[in-house]
Amino acid sequence: MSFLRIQNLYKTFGDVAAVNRINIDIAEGEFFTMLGSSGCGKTTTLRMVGGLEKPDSGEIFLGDQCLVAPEKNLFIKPEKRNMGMVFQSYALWPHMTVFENVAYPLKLRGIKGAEASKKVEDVLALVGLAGLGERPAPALSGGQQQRVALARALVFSPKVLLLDEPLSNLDAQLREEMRRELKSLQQRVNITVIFVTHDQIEALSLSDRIAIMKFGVLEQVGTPEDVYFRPATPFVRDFLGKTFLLPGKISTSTEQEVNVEVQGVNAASLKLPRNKVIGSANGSLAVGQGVTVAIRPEKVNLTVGRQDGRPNMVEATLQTVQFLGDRYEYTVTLGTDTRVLVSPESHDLKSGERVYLELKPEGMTLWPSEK
Amino acid sequence: MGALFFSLIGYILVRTKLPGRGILDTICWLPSAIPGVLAGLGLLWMFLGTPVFRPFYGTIVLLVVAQVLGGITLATQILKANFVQLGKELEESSRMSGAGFWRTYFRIVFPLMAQTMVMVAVIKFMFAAQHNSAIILLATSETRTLSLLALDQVAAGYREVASITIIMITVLTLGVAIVARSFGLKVGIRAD
Repeated sequence: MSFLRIQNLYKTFGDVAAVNRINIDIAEGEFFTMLGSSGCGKTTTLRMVGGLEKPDSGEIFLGDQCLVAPEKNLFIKPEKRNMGMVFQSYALWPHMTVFENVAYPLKLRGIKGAEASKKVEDVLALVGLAGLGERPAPALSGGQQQRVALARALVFSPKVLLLDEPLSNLDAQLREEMRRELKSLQQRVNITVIFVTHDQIEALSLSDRIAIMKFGVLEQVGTPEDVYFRPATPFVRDFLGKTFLLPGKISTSTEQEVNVEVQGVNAASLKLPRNKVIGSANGSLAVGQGVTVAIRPEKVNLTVGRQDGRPNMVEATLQTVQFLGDRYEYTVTLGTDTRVLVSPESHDLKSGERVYLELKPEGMTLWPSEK
Repeated sequence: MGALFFSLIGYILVRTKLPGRGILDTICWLPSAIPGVLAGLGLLWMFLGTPVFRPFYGTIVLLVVAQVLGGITLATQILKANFVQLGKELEESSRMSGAGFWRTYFRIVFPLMAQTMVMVAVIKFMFAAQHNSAIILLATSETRTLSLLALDQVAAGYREVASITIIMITVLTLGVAIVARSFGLKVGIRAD
């Protein structure tokens, strides 16, 4: 049974449907991420789960308890939901010390004295801030403040932890460090987490499952590998990582594979396994039908000479080569798209030269024609 | 006391979406917009005309009410600006921690606003020490402000006494102004 269930959740701001009838089931102990660009409704959804925003319609359940149901005039206040939340701005109270900040939720629950001190010390140690309790909250660095916010959200052992872009105010290096810590922390505490971010690296690396949102609608929900390698919509495909898009048309189609004749890249044809055909293109695979092949740059092998006999070879133009110590970055134009290929191997190549790319079938997807 | 009351009004105006808060905002402007004598007359009318309030006529309560209402515009506007500055997430994180609205208000919002509220109270004290035309109508011989006292003394021909009263007003307001100034400096350099 699902632990946290969102049913038909709907919320408008003015005339715009910020969250448009979405359904999500989250399991206990799951790290669930809502990913999307700003204004897609992910934060609004999170705030409705926390009770900081009221939906226009729809229901949210935690276990078998209904948290909100506008139709039944039911609304459980945020302070009664027993959820921890970390905000993008940390939201530490500047008139309190670190200890007082973290002890605040305990005080409200009637936990005082030695028991409270013990809990606060424990949770501060958990986030790596042992011994900093007496500092005033504003005296800490950004990363430390974020840890305090995390400690404050965890100290009362909430049922769910809500994270609203908690890493986006940190600088790049610190963000990476906090990302790893967040993951290991979640595994140690084994708490259900709903995480909101616009950063695909954070989403892919942290989550058990990702929901990708666009204009208040869920585009796809799945494991990181699912959404990355088997995107359900063009939006998901282009939002996560980079792709080369090659227009073409189907030349032959069998039970196992599809052959596509692509235009303008001097390739006889591309062979794709049938399971790489996405969604609506799958229904009718008539020969001659216009399609688009998408390929991830990291599933592309760069070769110098044309290697006959190997399938899925296409011709491309090398724009620049950059040496980065542990790797080379080749900027390549294939068809109309220019992307960067990363390879540890050095090729003796010059800018403007013609190169051949081997497209690995596992990195390709076939889409209905988009132009 | 006025500051606490106004902080609630300011809070309602900035944070909530209650219907009628536009009207409340307009009402807060009224005491400054209408002439003091008119406002005083209105108050006098209210206190004499309403049986429940009548016992208060001639007491200090009436003067306090008049003063508090007179300060409403300035106080709510200053506090409103301060609420906008104060991040909403500070309150929301308190709610998520398990505190209800009033607990959040007194444990989080109030301490963070305290400095501004003291400033508002000080400014209002300064206004109260100076003359206020609304007060003229409401004061009786036992309860009167310093400026009225000075006026009476001048009228009665005690010019020396009157000038001492005026000097007292000046010293008081100056002293309070210095306090307010040092307070403002403290608020200003507080680094977050």
